[in-house]
Amino acid sequence: MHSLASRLSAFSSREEVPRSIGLLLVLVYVVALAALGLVSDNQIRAVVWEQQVAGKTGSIVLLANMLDPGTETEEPARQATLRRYMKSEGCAEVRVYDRNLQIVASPASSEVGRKVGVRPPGSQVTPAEPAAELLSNPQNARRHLLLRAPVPGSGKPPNLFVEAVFDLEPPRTLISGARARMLAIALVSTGALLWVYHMLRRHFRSFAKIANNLAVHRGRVEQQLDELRVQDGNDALTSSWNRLIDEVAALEEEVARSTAANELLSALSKTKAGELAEAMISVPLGVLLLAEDCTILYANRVAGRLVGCPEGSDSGAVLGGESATRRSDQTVEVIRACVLETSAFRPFDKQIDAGDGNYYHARIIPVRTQQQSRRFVALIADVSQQVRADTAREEFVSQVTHELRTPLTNIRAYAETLSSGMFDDPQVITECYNVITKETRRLSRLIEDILSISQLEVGSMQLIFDDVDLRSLLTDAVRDVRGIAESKNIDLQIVLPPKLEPIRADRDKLAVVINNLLGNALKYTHSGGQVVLSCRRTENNLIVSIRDSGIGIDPKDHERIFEKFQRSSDPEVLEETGTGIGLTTAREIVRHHGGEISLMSKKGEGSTFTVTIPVDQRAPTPAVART
Amino acid sequence: MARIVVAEDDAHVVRLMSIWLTRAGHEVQEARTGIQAKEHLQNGGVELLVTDVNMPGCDGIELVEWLRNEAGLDIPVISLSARCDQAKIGQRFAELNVVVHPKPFSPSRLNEEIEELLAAAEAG
Repeated sequence: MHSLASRLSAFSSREEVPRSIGLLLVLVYVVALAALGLVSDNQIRAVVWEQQVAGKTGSIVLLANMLDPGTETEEPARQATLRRYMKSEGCAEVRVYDRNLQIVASPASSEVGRKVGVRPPGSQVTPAEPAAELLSNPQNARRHLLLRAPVPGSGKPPNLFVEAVFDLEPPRTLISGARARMLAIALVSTGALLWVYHMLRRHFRSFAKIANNLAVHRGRVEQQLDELRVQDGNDALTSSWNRLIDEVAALEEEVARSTAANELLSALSKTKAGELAEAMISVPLGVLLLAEDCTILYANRVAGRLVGCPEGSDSGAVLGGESATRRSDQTVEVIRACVLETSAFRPFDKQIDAGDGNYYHARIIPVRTQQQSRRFVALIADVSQQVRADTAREEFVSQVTHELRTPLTNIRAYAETLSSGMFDDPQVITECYNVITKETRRLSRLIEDILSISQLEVGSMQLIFDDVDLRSLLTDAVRDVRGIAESKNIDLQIVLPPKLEPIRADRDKLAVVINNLLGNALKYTHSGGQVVLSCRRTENNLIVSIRDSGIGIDPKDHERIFEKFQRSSDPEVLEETGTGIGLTTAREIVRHHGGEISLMSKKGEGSTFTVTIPVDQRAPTPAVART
Repeated sequence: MARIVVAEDDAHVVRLMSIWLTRAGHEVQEARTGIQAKEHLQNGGVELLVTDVNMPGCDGIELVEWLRNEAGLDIPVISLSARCDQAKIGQRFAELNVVVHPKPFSPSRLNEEIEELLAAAEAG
């Protein structure tokens, strides 16, 4: 069923048109050939018959002449002539009659004087001219040729005539030789026609497919160029057609690109003065459009400041040209080198150290214009903060490692000293125990700080509120660092009011705050200096101050030193070891208590850190309670 | 008996080394900074230097470079380091013919090393 349907479909398709036309032509040719053969057969048969009749007629006229009474009057002579005639012409009967249809002469002498013979009704009795007739024999349904000719010299009208009957009738079929020739001609010509048809069909097959494809996709050839391609042909026409399709497709693509580019340019030109241009100008990312020779075709505000050129387009400035206002020569040089030296068409990235503490990331994207020249889009991002944070993090890990190893070194070394049994001096043994204890506490505090900063990182710090005896907490804190103060010859004082009521707070976390602030004060105060811890309570707040006479802090670093992993840029500070997390941890803990840390300091004039914590912690804000 | 300079900013480490080396019969000169260590070395008679890497003012690498290049002293040097970039430090100290002991260290093992280095220096 499917096969039939497909055949019908194929038959109805335009692809079959040449085949049907060819078959029709062959059919017409064969019919015409058959008709021509038939007509020719009849004509030939007629001609053959006429020739036969004419020949017999001539022979009987000749016989009549031989029977002329003037020349042949004797009966035996006539009889002999008739017999020769019968024999030579092969006739069935021959006789000579007179006007009364009485046999005058016959091959059989017994018939002379009798009235016998074949007579068609109404026929002329004594023909003046030789005549031929076809007579049907009712006995055997055969037909016979009857010829009569007057005997010359027998009077006018003639008294005698010769009559001969031939067992002869017109040929019903052509003679076999002619038929064979005609058949051969028909077969050869039909074969030739079929061959010509085959060749033509083969030649025009590609035309048929192309025509078919065009007909099927009529009206949407632009969208379906691929469908017009002839798939299963390998002749020159198919190849040419497919090449033509390819070229048209390429042209269409080019036109589409050109159109899109024109539309984009048109849109951009329309938006230059519009919102897009405004937005581009204001984005915090540097955007540069450069020609191959580094002419600046467009620069937004950030890029303009960075490379020292006017913002906007068509300023005519050249990247790296004279400018007194650029922020980063190094950035200009890197981008310029990339543009001038690259031949690739893929985007590439450059990390740029501006050399002034700032870092930039430039992504440079080559683009091709309609005129086949190259342009470069440079996107420049200021990644200084990210680079500094990464550097600080690496330094933090390095610093923490160092800080952890330092107390561990003492704990291990002094423990080995004790366990070696080599030292029995009680003073040395006591000293070993003290160092181990002290370094263990130092290690504990360090781990606490690292944990705190980790909790701050993920926002999981939890405070455990309790009544905290401030006098005890502050006194313990001072006692823990008194050894350091003494080793550095620093006057460490604690000033507390006579009466100091407990407050609700997380004691351990608050101890971390005081320890960190005291530790910093001692670390950055020179020998002979002074550190004073004082505490007072107002109606609503507890205020703890740690004042030192140390190196002081430049006001530009006041905020920075509270940031994670950040330390003052003061070389005197950097000489001391530190992780950069102590103040961050302290401030976050205080903030989780609802308070704040403030700083008063000037370079070279000492520092005062003041911790202010609300006394009433019974109803802390949710954000600073148990988070 | 040898004169040994211990340069270390951590007072506990200096004290510990002093206890061990004194018991072994050596004379210990303590230095809390690289500058102090240079002063001791310039005074002469020092046969071995034990130095930390991270020290204020002048770190251990600078101290050894000064010792080898400027002071022209070829005495044995042992470095104690708690830094995490041990490989980098080790490469530089190897160029300066310095034995590195990472922190935390074993004081008994360190003393054995000191004795071996002193013996080798004396022998050769």
